[in-house]
Amino acid sequence: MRQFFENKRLIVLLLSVITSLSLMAFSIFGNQTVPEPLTWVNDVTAMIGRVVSSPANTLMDFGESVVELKNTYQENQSLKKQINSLQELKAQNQQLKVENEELNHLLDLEPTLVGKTIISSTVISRSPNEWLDTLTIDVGSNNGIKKDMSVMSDTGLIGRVYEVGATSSKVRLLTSESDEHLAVAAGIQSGDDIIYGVVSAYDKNADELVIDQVSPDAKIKKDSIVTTNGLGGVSPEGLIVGKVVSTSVDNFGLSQQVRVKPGADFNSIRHVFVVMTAGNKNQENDSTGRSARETIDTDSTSDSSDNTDNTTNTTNTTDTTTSEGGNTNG
Amino acid sequence: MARYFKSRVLLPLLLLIFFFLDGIMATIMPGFVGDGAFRMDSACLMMAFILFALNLEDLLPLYMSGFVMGFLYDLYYTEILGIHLFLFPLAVYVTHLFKHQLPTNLYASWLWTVFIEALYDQLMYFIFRMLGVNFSSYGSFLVAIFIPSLLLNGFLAFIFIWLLRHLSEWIESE
Repeated sequence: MRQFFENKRLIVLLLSVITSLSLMAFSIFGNQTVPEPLTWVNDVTAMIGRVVSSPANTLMDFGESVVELKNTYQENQSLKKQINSLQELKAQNQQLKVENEELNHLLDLEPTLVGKTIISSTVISRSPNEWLDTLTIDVGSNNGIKKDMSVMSDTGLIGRVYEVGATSSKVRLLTSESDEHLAVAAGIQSGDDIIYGVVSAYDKNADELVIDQVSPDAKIKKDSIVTTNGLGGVSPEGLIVGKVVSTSVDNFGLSQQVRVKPGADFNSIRHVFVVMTAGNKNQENDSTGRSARETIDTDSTSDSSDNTDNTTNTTNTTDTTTSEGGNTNG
Repeated sequence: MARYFKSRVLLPLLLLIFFFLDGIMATIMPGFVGDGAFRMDSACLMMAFILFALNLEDLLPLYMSGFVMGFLYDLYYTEILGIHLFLFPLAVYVTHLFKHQLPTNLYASWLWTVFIEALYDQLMYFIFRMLGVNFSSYGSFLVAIFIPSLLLNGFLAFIFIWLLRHLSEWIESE
């Protein structure tokens, strides 16, 4: 026994193993919420990370700008072609918006899933570990961010906020193998109908999201747009998820499984948009000047669903209002 | 005094840069690799610990930094506390045990760094598999993550060996 206590290395090793195992057990089996002091540590780390990652982000932005500049002419031509149809759509949207508000009023619906405000944010870092696939973004509770808010890239839904610090938040991606935050209520737009289902898994090999709980009788066409449907009240409705690739009926014929190509490119995420619901909008406006960021009314998102890219471009260019002192990242 | 300051203050700060480099690489690399079939996970901080352990004589600040950085790494990136908290100091200790048996040239340092990094990747796969975070098959892990990551880290190790050897000499100089 005495010999054991004289062996300092062995004691340190044993203590380290015990501490590590205890912490692992605490992380896995303990309360899922991160204790407040650890959130502060995360927040401070994210603040330093923001400074360290800014040169890399600037460099990448410059590279992207050069590439985008090359495509400007072609983009300009195609955008000119779209202008006429967009003006027509805008008029229709306005009409539908008024009609929608009237109907909502008549039905006395909760307004939280009707109007949407988004906050642009830059990715500070991504987890170097493939299986967790989380992002740290540079907006937090000071900016009105709350747990479970949906997060989008410029082309589609990418995940959900799962931890909020004062100045930074963590986002779990839909591609994460940890499936506790994955379930998203989805709507497949098939003609005039919307078919409901739940995004329940991600197939990494095929890069496809899997939607379950779809009615076996539903007729779903390939390339149909999939959006969030707002049911359950966690994700707001109308956020682009992707396009239908294929469908299959389960062995018992009770439901269909729909495979969806994600609208977002999960390989290149450097700027994201956190989608706030109308209920949070007021809170954001009440916050300090630091929290006032670019806000975009995305009511038109679900209206122009010709294709995923066009929809998002329309979203970003309509009804943009930049608040004072706003950061216009993304 | 200068040496004390460099090893106790500047060394952890240097390691902090490597800590953030891992996050930056994870943000940037998937865009370069392409369609998502492969993923290159960098292990800059782990390599920094191994190379500092190969080059520095006084390892106490490195052990201390290992515990602190390991805790931060778990908190900020991994979300499961206790994994890197133990692995970083362990990598320093194992390197310390074997460093006098290794030839002091670039290739030996590179091989050792890549070997430990490969072990680290394998260990992480099994730990996450055991904890129920990872559901990938071992074959797809080898092809899609392990080999691409090893290639990336092998390349990075070449740069870091030169850089960290000079930094270690500077830290240990009066």
